[in-house]
Amino acid sequence: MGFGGLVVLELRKRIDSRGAHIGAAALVLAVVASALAGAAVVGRNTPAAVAEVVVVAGLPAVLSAALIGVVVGVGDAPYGGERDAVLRGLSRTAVFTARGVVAVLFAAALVVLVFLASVGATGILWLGGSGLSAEDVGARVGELSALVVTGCTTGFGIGASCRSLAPAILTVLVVVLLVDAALSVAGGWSVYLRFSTVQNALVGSAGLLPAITSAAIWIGVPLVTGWFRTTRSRLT
Amino acid sequence: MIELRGIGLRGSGRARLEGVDLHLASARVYGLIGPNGAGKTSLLCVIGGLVRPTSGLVIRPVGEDVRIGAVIGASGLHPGRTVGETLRLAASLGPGGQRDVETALGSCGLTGVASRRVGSLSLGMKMRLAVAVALSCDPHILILDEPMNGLDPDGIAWVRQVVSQARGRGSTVVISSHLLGELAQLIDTAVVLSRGRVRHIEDMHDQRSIRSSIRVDVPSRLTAALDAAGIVWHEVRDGLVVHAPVGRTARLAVESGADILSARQFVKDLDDVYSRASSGEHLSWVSS
Repeated sequence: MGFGGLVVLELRKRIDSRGAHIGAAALVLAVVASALAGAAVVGRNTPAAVAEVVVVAGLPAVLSAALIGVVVGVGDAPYGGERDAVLRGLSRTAVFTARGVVAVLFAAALVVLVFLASVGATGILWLGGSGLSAEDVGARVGELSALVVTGCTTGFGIGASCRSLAPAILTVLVVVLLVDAALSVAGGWSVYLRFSTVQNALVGSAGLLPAITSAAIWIGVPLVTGWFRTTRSRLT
Repeated sequence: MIELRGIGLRGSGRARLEGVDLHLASARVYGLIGPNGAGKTSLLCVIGGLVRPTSGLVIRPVGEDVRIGAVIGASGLHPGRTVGETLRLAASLGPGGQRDVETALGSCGLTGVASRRVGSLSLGMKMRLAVAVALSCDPHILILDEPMNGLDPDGIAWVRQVVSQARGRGSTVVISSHLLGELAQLIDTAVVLSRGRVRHIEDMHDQRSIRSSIRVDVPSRLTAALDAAGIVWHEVRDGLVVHAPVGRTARLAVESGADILSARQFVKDLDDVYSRASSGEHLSWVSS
C-alpha cells in the first residue's frame, strides 16, 4: 500500500464510525441553519450581501475546525490504530502525515460546505426576488479558509500529542476559550503568544513577527509533539 | 524467516528484554511461556516491529515484503466501527485488497454479525474478530498474544485450527499463553522467558527426548531387542518406558515376536519445561 492508499484508509477510518456520522450530521445541520439564519438577516437589506451570509454560515465551521482537527489527530490511537499499518511495514511518520492530509481535506470540505450552504441560502433569497451583492465574497471565503485551516491544524497537533479524545478536546477548549481570552487582556506583548494572532495574520491584520511566534507556539509545537508521540508511543 | 540478535528493550526505568537471541523459522509454531512480566508481550511487539528495541538487531529477509498479522489483546479494534467495516479496513491493507467479508466472518465463526458494532461483541467474539483481522493480510508471521482468552472450547479448537493452517501455509507462528496444556498441543518450539531473558528453548519434537510407553505380552523379548538396538528403557508398574518414538518401539516389539497390548507416545509437559528452565530440575513426563 502506498501513501495515497494510506490517506484513503485514514479518511475511511474517520468517517465510518457512529460517532463520526452523528458529528458530521450535526455539523452540516449547524452550518445550513446558520446559513439560513444569515440569509434571513441580510435579506432585509437591498441588495443582500452574500459575503455576510458566508460569515454567519462559517461561524460553526470556525468553531468546530479545531475539534475536527482533534478527532483526526487522535485518530484511533486509543485502539492501537497505527498498529496494522506498522505491521504492514508502513512507517509511523507516514501514518502521521496521512492523518495530517486528512485533516486538511476535512478543513477544505468544511469551507466548501459553508460556501455551498451560503450559495443555497442566498439562492432562496434570489428566488424570493431579493437583489444580491457578491462583493467581498472571495475575501470572506479566503478568511474563512485561513481560520478553518489554522484551527484544524492546531487541533490536529494537540490531538496527536494527547492521543486521547477527552484531554485533547479539553486542551483545545482551554486554549481557544480561556488562554487566548486571558492573553488578549494581558497587554500588547501578548500578541506574540496568542493563538488568534496567526489567524489574524492570515487575514492581514497582524504583523509578521507576532504571526511567526504565534504559529510556532500553537501550530509548530503541537505538530512536532504530535509527530514525536505518534512515532514513539507503544502500540499495544 | 526472522532472527533476533542481542535484543534489549528498556521501558519505565527497567529492562523489559535483555540479550534475546532467537531464530524464528518458517512453518514452525513457537510458544512463549513465562511468568507475568517476563517480557512475552514486549518480545512479540519487537518481532512485529511495533516496538523498536533499544539494542540489538531484528533481521528480516532482504527485499521481501514480510507481512505480519498480530493479535495483541483485543484492544486494536475500534468499538464504534462495525465488524464488517473493521474487516474491510484490515483487508485493504493486505495484498489482495478487499475480500468477501461474509466469507471471512464465516471462517472465524462470526457469521451474520457484519453489521454489529465491535463494542457490542462478547470478549470471545472480539478475540475471534481480532484473529480474523490478523489473518486478513495472509501473514508470513502470525503473532498471537494470549489468543485463547475469553474463548469457549469451540473457540479454542478454532484457534488450534488457525495455527495449524498457518503452519501448513508456511507461516511462522509465535504464540504466548498461560494455558500451557493447550499450548503444548500447538507448538513446535517452547521459548521460556523470565525477567526479560530467554532462559531455555525446547524443541518439542526433539527425537532424542521422545519417550513412549508400551505393554507387551513377553517384555523380555522386547527388552532384548531394545538392548540390541542400543535404546534406553526402564520398567514401570504397567510396562516399559522407552527412549524412542512409539513407532520405532512398536516395530521392534513386532520384530522381537512380542504381542503389543498397548502403546502410546508421551508429549512434553510445558509445566515441566518451564519448571526445569527456571529451577534446573530434570524434565518429567506426562502421557498424551
